[in-house]
Amino acid sequence: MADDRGLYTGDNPKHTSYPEDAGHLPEQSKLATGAAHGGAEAGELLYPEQRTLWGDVFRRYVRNQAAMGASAFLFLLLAYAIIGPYLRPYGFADIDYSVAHQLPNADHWMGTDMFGRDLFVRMAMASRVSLLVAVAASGIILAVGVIYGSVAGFFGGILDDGMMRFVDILYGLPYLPFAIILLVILGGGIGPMLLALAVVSWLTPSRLVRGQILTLKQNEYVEAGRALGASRGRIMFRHLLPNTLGIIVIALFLEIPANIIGEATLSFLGLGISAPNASWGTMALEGYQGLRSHPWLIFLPAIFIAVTVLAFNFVGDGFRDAIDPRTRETR
Amino acid sequence: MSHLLEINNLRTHFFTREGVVHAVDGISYTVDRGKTLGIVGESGCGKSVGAMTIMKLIPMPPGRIVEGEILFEGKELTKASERQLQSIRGNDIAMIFQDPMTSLNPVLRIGYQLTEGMRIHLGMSKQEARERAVELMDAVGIPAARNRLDDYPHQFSGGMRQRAMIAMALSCDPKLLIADEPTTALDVTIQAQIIDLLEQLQDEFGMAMLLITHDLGVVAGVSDDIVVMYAGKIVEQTDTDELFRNPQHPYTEALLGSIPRLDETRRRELANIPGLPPDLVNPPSGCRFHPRCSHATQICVDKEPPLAPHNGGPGHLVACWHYRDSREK
Amino acid sequence: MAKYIIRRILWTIPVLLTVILFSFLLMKAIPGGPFTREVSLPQQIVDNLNEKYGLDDPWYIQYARYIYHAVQGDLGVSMTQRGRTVTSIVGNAFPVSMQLGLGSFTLALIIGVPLGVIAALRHNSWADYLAIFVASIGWAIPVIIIAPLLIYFFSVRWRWFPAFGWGDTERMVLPIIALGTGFTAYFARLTRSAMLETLQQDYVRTAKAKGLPWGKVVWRHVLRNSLIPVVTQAGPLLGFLVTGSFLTEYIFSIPGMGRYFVDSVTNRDYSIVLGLAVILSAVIVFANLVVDILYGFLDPRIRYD
Repeated sequence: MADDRGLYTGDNPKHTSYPEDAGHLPEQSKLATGAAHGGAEAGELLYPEQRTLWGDVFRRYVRNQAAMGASAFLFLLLAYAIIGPYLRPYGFADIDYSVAHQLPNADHWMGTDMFGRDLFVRMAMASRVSLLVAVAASGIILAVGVIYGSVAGFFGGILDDGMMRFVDILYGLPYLPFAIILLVILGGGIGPMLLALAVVSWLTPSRLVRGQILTLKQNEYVEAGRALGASRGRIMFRHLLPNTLGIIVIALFLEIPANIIGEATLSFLGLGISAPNASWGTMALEGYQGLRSHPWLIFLPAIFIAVTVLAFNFVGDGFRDAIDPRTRETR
Repeated sequence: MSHLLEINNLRTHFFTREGVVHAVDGISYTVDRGKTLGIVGESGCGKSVGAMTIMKLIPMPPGRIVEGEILFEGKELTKASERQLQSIRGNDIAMIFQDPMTSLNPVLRIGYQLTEGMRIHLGMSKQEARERAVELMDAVGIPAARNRLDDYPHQFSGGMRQRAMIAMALSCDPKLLIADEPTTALDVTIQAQIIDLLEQLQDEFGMAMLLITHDLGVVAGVSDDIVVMYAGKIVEQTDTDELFRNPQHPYTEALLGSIPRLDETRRRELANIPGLPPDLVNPPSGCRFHPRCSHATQICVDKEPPLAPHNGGPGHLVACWHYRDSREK
Repeated sequence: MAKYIIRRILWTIPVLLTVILFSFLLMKAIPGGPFTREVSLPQQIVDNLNEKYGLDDPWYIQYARYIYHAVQGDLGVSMTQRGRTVTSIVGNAFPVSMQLGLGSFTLALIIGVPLGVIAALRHNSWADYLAIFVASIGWAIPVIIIAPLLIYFFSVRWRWFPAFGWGDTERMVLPIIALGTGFTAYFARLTRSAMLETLQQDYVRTAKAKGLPWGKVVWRHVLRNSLIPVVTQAGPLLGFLVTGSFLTEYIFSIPGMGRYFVDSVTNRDYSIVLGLAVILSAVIVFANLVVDILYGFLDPRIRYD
């Protein structure tokens, strides 16, 4: 059944053939009668060592080369952002026209901009801002989305209806114009930027979470829990949310790159953090002005943005495959 | 006497990243025209894989027919081309599956799905096919058939959907119908109806049937012969009456023993078979049932028992070192 | 089916009204009215102007008045560009943005979807891996990067296409490619995973078991079913296309709605900003409507609820 234009789950809950204990993720995709597993559906119970769910996930993740490479890159990036500025003797706002517009060399590892400021240091500082904004915004978006979606999905009924209608209406708001308006009202800066990024983006995670909770609610183990007398809160926390956790983490990893791009876009339009502070977007804007003669100034932040976004995508995909490998290969 | 379907020493393995799954490991059976063979076993024993291998419906990577022959009307299916197989599927051999909700395409009308096969295999026109579809739906007991031709699967109840699947399978008058757990996803009362329906249709259409299930009750009424499978192998094979009257293999005994019976006056605990289903990547040595068998001895661990007639008669095959008759001394 | 369509259409009205309300209130929240910018006017004149433009009435009255006029096609007068009506300004910008947006969407559809289908059908082959790789990159690299890249190489260095303005086909190439690349990649990925998932469904197995030739199975059973999740997820994107073109318009100096928007916001030209926001929202709502209807055609289950 399609879920409100949210997830297309196409599933009949009765068909799950995996034993449901609280930590086990339900199967969302379809398999021909276990043939792809050679009929060994229940065979997984057999392995002597205790295999935990997250242990499995971790192992599968580690085997994914793209994801591992991307993770390594992201750690490096983080290190660069934190330590970078201390590695060179220049300040990020030190102007020196005599060395302006240099390409990478021994003195200035990433070259200099039109004011002669060292780009290695500036990019590190900018990385701090961009990463911080993206991660924080994603966190807020997911938090709001998860709370909203779980409440709606769990309680169902009129509350759910009303809440989702509200979401439907907000869906009609064009994201960028409102973000722009917000930023103009509130001025530049990190706080307003976070708000602008979050204000329309929480809609999709909330739908996602709600959809997942709705599907899970139908599973028998929820009924079993209630039959045993578990309170609703307990059911929500011990049973439903852990199974949703996977989806949430995946959404988080895929939300971050979207916000990196979002922040870069808004900054590019001139609404970002004010000089001399920098983010990748503001640096791209500066570089754009010199596109014809000194393209390096825009390519540098552009490369950072592109590769980081790609890395986060790989990590998110890798995590998704690790959690639910049955949707992938072996067929 | 030539059989309609003859399977000889079939082995189907799946080559996955976690190892080779020996799903079907050397099974042989035959089905004759107009007769019904029941294949019984627990989940994962290879009964479905075996049946799907007949028409090569298993995913071929990672699956592979490692050994064996499949002879349908004398034609060797393992060597047939995809083209040849396509003309047999749905036409000479038809198959119905376990879950009718997911086995029918939700966005296409029932009428269309019913007539698809007929138009391709029998060359019927759309009109002709539709007429025949209505007949078929009547035959399987779907009321107001003509009106329901243009409905969608989700507008049918579970039992009706399965009937529609059956109608679809019979549309080209197949010689063999393979029914893979046709009643498992249905309510018990509907189960009985469907089984009766299958029996009745078999009389009417004269086709042979391969009935796969884990439910002995289902198989008891309808099959002529039964094959009991475990862990990819056949452990016992004989005609229905003999099996129920005189089960020889410990597994069969246990299966029969685990069914609650109406005629028991004493209350007893529901017997079950201890242990867990076997790992098909590294199956137990010797007799694959030995870890769960109360009669197992050292030879059961060391050597695999052959499927051979027990001294009760040539038609009753058992694969066990300590089958029942040999135990009672 | 008809009921479904009508219900969906009726639903757009409250959505539109609410969205306009939001925009309206947001505009009112911007500190400083249109007359309090550079030149400080005597308070008396400011009051008069406020009264003339009806800015001192309570917000709900202003809102009602606005809707009343809007329905008749009158979106007010620009506050900074004397004498020009919002409708005329927006009216010129709108088709430009639409062309850009639709052009990119079509490009994405024509290239992305078939790519995804082929990748799925040749699953796990080199073609599949190549497609995934290219699609991942295409989606990850935002317009902000592709656009300057394209400009630099195709316009500055090699001088194949002009980089600014709008009008003749030549000028349309680079912007459409810039905007369309991301979407093409997205559609390809989307279609591919939808197809892969559909291919695993039981009813595909049934179709095979009926002896249908593989081509027919794909065409009749797989494709249409795969389109459903594609439409579901890509549909809302249609709305984003119009707004996503903001950045592209900015970079390529295209006289579309995006360009006017930022300027108007900074200039506090309420009427234009409001008018633009309204039009944009209307487009998104309309796009969602089209998607919903399309979805109703594709998936019969949804019609009967």
